[in-house]
Amino acid sequence: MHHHNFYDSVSSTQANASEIDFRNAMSRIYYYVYHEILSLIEKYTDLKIIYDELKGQYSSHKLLQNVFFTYTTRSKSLQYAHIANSLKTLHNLRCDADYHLDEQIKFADYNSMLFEVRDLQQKLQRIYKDAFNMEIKSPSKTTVFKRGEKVDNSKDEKTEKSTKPNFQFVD
Amino acid sequence: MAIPQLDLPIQLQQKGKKDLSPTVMAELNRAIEKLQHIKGKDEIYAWHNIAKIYAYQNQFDKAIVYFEKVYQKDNSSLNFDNLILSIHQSGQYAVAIEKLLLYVQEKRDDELLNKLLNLLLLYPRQDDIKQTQKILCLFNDEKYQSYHQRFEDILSRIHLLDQFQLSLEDYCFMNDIYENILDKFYYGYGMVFDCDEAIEHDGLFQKIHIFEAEAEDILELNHLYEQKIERMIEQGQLTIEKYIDIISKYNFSFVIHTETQEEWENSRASS
Repeated sequence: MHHHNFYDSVSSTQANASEIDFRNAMSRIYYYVYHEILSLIEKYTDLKIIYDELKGQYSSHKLLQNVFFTYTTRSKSLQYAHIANSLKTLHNLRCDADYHLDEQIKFADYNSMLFEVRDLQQKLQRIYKDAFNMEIKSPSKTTVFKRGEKVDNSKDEKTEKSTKPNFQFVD
Repeated sequence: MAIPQLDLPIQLQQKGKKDLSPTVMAELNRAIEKLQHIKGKDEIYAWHNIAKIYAYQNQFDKAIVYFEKVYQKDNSSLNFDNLILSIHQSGQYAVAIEKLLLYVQEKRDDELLNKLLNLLLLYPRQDDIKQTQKILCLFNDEKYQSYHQRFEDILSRIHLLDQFQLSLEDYCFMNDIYENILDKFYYGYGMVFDCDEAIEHDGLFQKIHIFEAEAEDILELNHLYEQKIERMIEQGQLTIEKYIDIISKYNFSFVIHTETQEEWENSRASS
């Protein structure tokens, strides 16, 4: 199976999908990214050497992040740290989707993750032209069309813990 | 205080992404010039709006000067609130907290205590915590129970920092970077910091919920963040090793909502 299938299987997720659809989509998209990065590491000797050095010391997810963190210190180039940071963020979002059932996952979480993926894609393509060639599509922002029907997705909700008031000057 | 009919740029009455294009900047500067000629009873209104324009232009130090002038003339809690916000936005969170502590202790203002608790969650320095604990004793009424709970949350956060061996200094440093980016990018935005400490994250994971915005803003926000880090490293304020050490224990992501914070909070309350 090609890892693109992970993304393909959820790429039609729409803004009015159910919570479980969003969770599944976030999880599958993370694994699409995971395998994309893994194949990139296999292709580039500098990264592969570090990968082999670190293998066995970390979980598979942390290993991927640490390949880029380590390459940052070796190359003194911060762009690899930004890639590692994006990978860490995506992994955290995937963990929320898979493990934290007490927190609602809504369209805003899913759509924001898609833009995090797109951001990682841009960072990678600045260095590795052949990386990540899949087009990452975000569902329409305000309305989506499904089966010929116009769907209002403005009722996007989220349940969370601590709040902070508006950062707005009071008149 | 109502926004006076002074031909103010429309940007100041809206929330959202700041537009600092030359055209808008020129319009804002023209508004400042007009406002500076206003005297007499409308002077406070003029200063208030000059301050808002400077905040919009990311000239927070100038905004402080004008909010300070407003507060000197009319020392209402609303004007104090604006002054504190501008001090905070200028990056002086320690000064903002110090002023809030004094004010809340003296005036027993519960709304500003609320603001103080919000700030302490992001900047929980020991001395401020001790002082806040004393102040909270003045708010023993049942209606303030949530304030005491939030104080407990702050103490738990400190405990988590210890657990993940993340120094208080590094925690505050990262929060300050993110707040600074958001203040420069959005005007009058709603925001919720939601910190997650699950073991799967292998550290602290802060989700920042932004309201009335578009998800593609993430691309620009991440870019601004990365630029800021690069600048700090170039200027010797941070080393690559130190930066990697911090973000491997504490990192962020944005969750962007198109709805308002109020709508989001209502839906949260009803779920």
